[in-house]
Amino acid sequence: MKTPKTKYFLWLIVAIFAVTILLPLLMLIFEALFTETNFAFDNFLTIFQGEVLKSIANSLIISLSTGLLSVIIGTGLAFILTKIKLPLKNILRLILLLPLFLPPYITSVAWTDFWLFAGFPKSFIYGIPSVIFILTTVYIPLSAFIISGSLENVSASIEEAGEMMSSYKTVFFKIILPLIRPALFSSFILIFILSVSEFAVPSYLSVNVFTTEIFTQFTAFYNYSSAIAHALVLTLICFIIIFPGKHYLLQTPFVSFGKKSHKIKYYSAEKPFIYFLVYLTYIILFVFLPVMMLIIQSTEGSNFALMQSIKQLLPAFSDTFLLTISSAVFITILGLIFALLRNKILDYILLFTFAVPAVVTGIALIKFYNTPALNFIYGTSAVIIFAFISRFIFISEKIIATGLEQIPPSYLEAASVMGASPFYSFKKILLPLTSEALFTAFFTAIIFSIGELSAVIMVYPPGISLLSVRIFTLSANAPQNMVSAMCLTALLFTLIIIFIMLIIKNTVFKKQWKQS
Amino acid sequence: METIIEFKNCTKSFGKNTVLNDISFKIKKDTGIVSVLGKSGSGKTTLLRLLAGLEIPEKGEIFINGKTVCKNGKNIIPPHKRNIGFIFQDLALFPHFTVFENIAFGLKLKKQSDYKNTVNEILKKFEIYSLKNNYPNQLSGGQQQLVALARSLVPEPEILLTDEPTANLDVKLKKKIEELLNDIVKQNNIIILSVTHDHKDAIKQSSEILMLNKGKIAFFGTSDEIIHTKNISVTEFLEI
Ligand SMILES: Nc1ncnc2c1ncn2[C@@H]1O[C@H](COP(=O)(O)OP(=O)(O)OP(=O)(O)O)[C@@H](O)[C@H]1O
Ligand SMILES: [Mg+2]
Repeated sequence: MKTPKTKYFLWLIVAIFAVTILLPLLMLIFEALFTETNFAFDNFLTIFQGEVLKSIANSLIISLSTGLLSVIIGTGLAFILTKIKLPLKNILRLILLLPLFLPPYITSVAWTDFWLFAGFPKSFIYGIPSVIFILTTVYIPLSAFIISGSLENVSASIEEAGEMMSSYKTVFFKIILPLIRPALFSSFILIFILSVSEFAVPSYLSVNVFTTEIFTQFTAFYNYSSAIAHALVLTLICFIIIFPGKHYLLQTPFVSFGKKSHKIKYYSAEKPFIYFLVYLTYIILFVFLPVMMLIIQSTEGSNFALMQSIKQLLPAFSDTFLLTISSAVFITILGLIFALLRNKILDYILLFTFAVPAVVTGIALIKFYNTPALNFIYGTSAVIIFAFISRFIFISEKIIATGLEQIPPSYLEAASVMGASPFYSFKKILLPLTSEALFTAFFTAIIFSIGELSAVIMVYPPGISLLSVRIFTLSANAPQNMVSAMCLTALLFTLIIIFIMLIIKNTVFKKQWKQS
Repeated sequence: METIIEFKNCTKSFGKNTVLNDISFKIKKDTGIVSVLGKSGSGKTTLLRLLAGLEIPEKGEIFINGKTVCKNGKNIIPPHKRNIGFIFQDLALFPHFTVFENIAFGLKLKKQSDYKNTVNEILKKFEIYSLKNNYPNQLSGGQQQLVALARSLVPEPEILLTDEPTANLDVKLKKKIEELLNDIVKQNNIIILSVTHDHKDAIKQSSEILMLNKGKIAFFGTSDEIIHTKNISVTEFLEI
């Protein structure tokens, strides 16, 4: 793919990305910094006062604790999953991931249902600890997944060589931990960014955080410049937190694909069923319990809540389906192009778009496209697609780049020596060998997009109905059983999509060479 | 006899590390097997990659059949037009293709219509016909090496480059591959440049030997000559 012509073409696409998605973000930041200097300066002063200061503190407390807790618990689960021989391992792994596939607002409704049902005090339910708890249950799978991938990359021979010389404790702290440190850091930062951006959970639990503050400034008071000033502060906070760990974030593979060339060291635990029980308890508590609660709550009182909610949400299904799928197609193609270009600056640009909190992305897109000249875009679902791309292209590109890196250069060299043109090698070698990564990137983009609320709630045009937005707006005035029923419906919708994707994976991507 | 391969004042560096420093040599068309010897890191693989066009020397010129294939840091003829077969150190079998598909890859590109027969013939000759529908990860190390050899031979290259094709093999399989290579040289008039660590074998098998040391050619001549050489760095390396 290195002929000059294709290269120009790829860079042209990068340029289109830069103009449609990067430029709005940059313009917002520059505007806040320079154009409205005086105005913004006043706004900055008001930001660091009373309530607002408290919302910043809340945001930080929530996202730092969520990051820390998710990484600690995720490491434990990852260890059990990769290093100890357990029955039903693959199924356990899939179920563990489930909470991540569910939009966070569904999880928060489910847990609130449970707490109300179990008679917890309202002061607990509608408070910071419960937001941390819910976000942690959502993001534990993410850290467990990344960390277990990195544990799989530690070869048995390294561990065994260490064990010949010292105790297992030393091996763990001196060999394993340093090797998985990048994964620990990058999952922490990833989760931090995702939870700082999180809007639905704190808003549902009436906790005032920075994102809800910006949202209120923007939608209730129509105070653009105050919202923008807030947005800038939040963005800066994110950048400051990310900065020390940016290398880890760029270098850690988020997923590990295919067969490993080395063996993984397994430990035969004395009592493996204890670990199995730990796992099972985790899954029952954090996966089945909330789902059960949704089911119980939505059948409470009238039996019609579920039917009614399906009816209410029906128009949202097709829009959500079409928009998330088409965004995922764009995200995957762009991700492949960016991964093929392997450019450092491009890496940082993608990290930047990801690090900008979702509400800020929303405001940036509105400010940029809601102008007479560009209104033809603003009024359409294109803005939603831009929002999804901006939010999730970083993650998808990382997944695809990881897949590409795992193809030894000698494959392409062998093909080229045998007479294959660059395009032929791309089609016959590179593309089939990255298909798993492409599929994973596509799948991830769909799942994250279905759950996205913070950015799209700002930009969705009239006439377009998205599942997350619709549930969020309807739930403001709906009785609890109706809210639960809507969430159950959304859950079913997500599960059906996951199911379809898995079927597609097993039929289209059937790979005999992976087996054996 | 005509010259098939010529290196003229070629220099190749990676950063500050000059791996091959101003080397020149010629190989004639009927030479047969040329063994490339040298310590680990002496540039053996790099030499083969230069000839294949996968690396470009920053100085000097390389000729194949009298035609300039690269000159002054530019590839003039790209790898896929040089008619060279290459067996890589890691074999580079395509994991998503079967044995048959791997071997057919180069032939299909040449738009040969009866490629199936050609592939089946070589599978039988190499005694791996029963494995034709297996994927590379279902083969033993030795079987993989046979497939890699078959794959690089079917397009009938004029030059075959092998990077330690018989490393890690048991004696029997090693003999078999050596015999196959000898047959091929006799029948097809092909030049084999073979990197190896086993210099005793190299002296026995090959008609010429090229030895690299510290970026220079320490020795280039026939196996008879290398046994009787007085060059100390060569005798030290060979331990004779
Ligand atoms: N792509 C590269 N980038 C930087 N340095 C390289 C690269 N390829 C090779 N080298 C360096 O060039 C030198 C020669 O490498 P080469 O692989 O040709 O050695 P070799 O003789 O084949 O060794 P071995 O017998 O161990 O395979 C080594 O010092 C190596 O570190
Ligand atoms: Mg080598």
